[in-house]
Amino acid sequence: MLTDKEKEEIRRKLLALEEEPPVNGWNKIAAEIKPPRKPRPFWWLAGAALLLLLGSLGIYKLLDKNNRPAIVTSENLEAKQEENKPEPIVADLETGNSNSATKHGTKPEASKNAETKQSETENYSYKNSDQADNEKLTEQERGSSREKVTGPANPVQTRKPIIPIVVGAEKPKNKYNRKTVNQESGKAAAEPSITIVPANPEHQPETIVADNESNTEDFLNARMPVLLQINGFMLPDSMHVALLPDSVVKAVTVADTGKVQESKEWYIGVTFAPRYAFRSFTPTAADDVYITKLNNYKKLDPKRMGYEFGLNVGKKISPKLYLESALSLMQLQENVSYAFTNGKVDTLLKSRTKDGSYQAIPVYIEGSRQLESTFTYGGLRVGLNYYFLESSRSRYNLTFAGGANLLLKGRTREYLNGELKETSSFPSEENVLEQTNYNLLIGAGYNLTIRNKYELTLMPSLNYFLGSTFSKREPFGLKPYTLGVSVQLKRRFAN
Amino acid sequence: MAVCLRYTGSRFEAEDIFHEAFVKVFKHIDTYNGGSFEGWVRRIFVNTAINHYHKNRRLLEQLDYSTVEETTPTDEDIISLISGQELMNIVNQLPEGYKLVFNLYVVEGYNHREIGEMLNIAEGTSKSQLAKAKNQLKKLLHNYSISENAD
Repeated sequence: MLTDKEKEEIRRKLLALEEEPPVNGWNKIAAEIKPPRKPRPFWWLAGAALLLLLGSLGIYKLLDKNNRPAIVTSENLEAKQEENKPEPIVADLETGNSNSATKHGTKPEASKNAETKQSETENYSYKNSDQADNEKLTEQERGSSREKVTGPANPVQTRKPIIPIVVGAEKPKNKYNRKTVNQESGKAAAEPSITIVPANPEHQPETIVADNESNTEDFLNARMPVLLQINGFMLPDSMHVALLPDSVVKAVTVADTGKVQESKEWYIGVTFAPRYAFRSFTPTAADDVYITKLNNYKKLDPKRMGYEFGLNVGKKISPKLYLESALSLMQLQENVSYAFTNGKVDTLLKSRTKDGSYQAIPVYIEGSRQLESTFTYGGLRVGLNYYFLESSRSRYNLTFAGGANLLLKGRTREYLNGELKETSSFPSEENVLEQTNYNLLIGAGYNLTIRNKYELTLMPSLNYFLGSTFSKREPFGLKPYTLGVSVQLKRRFAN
Repeated sequence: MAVCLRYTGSRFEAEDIFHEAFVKVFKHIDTYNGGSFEGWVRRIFVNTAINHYHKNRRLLEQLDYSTVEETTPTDEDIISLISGQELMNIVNQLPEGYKLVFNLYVVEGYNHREIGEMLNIAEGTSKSQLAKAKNQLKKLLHNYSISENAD
């Protein structure tokens, strides 16, 4: 029988005993205790959907903005806008009508006819409300006054049949000051929001009739409701109203309609881009595998050549800037080959040092592993194109874009010591969004106009992926960046 | 790992227990309520080893305890002379049931009632198995001492 002393000795020795855990013990444990990966489809989907939504919304807003009329319009004005003729927008206080004319002295016929038609109409509400003033003018006078105001070559002055108001798109700096307007109409004409151009500039100072101030105020007050009844008309408090005598005619216009017209340009295009995949390696968590050599780290390898097809839609948002969104289908190839060891010593080499002692140099068991991968991504990208050095035939561009890529299909062939060991396909059924990735693209290109409406673009570009593609499966992550040349053919449209 | 080796007959089985126990530790880390963490971990390892024993209790059931020889006097110094590893190798030569009770009682410090509950055996059975384990171990130590001296 064991004595208590012996038992205590046994206990002490057994408890003090230490044993090395199994070599791959932690890997197995880690694999088992790894919490199940929560599927993240909603994040990716939400990101992609948001990107798509914002892109679409932006384009829609731009289109909508450019199609929206800048200011009050009557039927006549709308008719004119349909003809894409830049027109000034004028509100006639007396007739309650708003009208447009291109420039001083160049009234188009359509406008003239429309006005005539309006003058024949009797049931305008403003007319009833301002009967007294209107009675001062005969129909003939009224007709002739309009002729004078907007007539092409010979503006004739009348006393005050028409109060021309030209409403500008820009907000004036000063508050409305009737006195100033009446007495210093020269300054008023310089205001950005309302511009009055005299028919004969020489007469401006002299021909301005300084009406009795109270009469003028009455006149304006009486017509204000009329203005407000005009569909869509809004009178900002800062707006200047210039009351001008007959010698002064309306002219000038809202905004530079040429710019509005210009910003409506958009294009649609197709892209093809051969892409070569470079990569940077990112180490993952510590494990038992030690990569001793990357065999093809620097060499160019045809197995890393891929391509991209794209469908692009762009919209001009400023004279030199285009917003572009693109759907793409991209195939990338990767070929990684490396030598590794898991730390097992094959043999010990004994070498003698200078001081006569011996040194043991371990030689580890090494293996080689090769991964040949093909990835097919579907992508959505939104970016900006900046054009510069423009000439009639060509222009250059800088492009910056970002997007999300969804892995549609992937395959990796694994070779161990030269022999095909396994072929993996992904995304896996459990996580269809596996290896979905974000990427950034920058490029600089040359654009050549062909037959006015087409444009051929040649653009070297760098596409940098923000996430690793191998990190979940391999002892390292691999961040690809592709260098390619985009060849794009665009068809330009102008609304 | 040494805990696992004490409760099994082979390193292969010990590694299985080690793996299983460690997984339990990580999965139930939230149930640790303070106190000695080492003790908590050790208890998990021991319980895992016992579960393993329950799954593979063939040897215990098939063992004819009547065949076990009675106590044999041995050299008292042998225990202090041999290493822990050698001692564990000798303990591992005990029949499975003996080894289990011996480890739980002598090394882990459980009493016979606790051992009975853990192994689903009567308290008396635990006592008798411990006694036989100690006798068997004496004999093994004696034999080891003789062979060591012969070398």
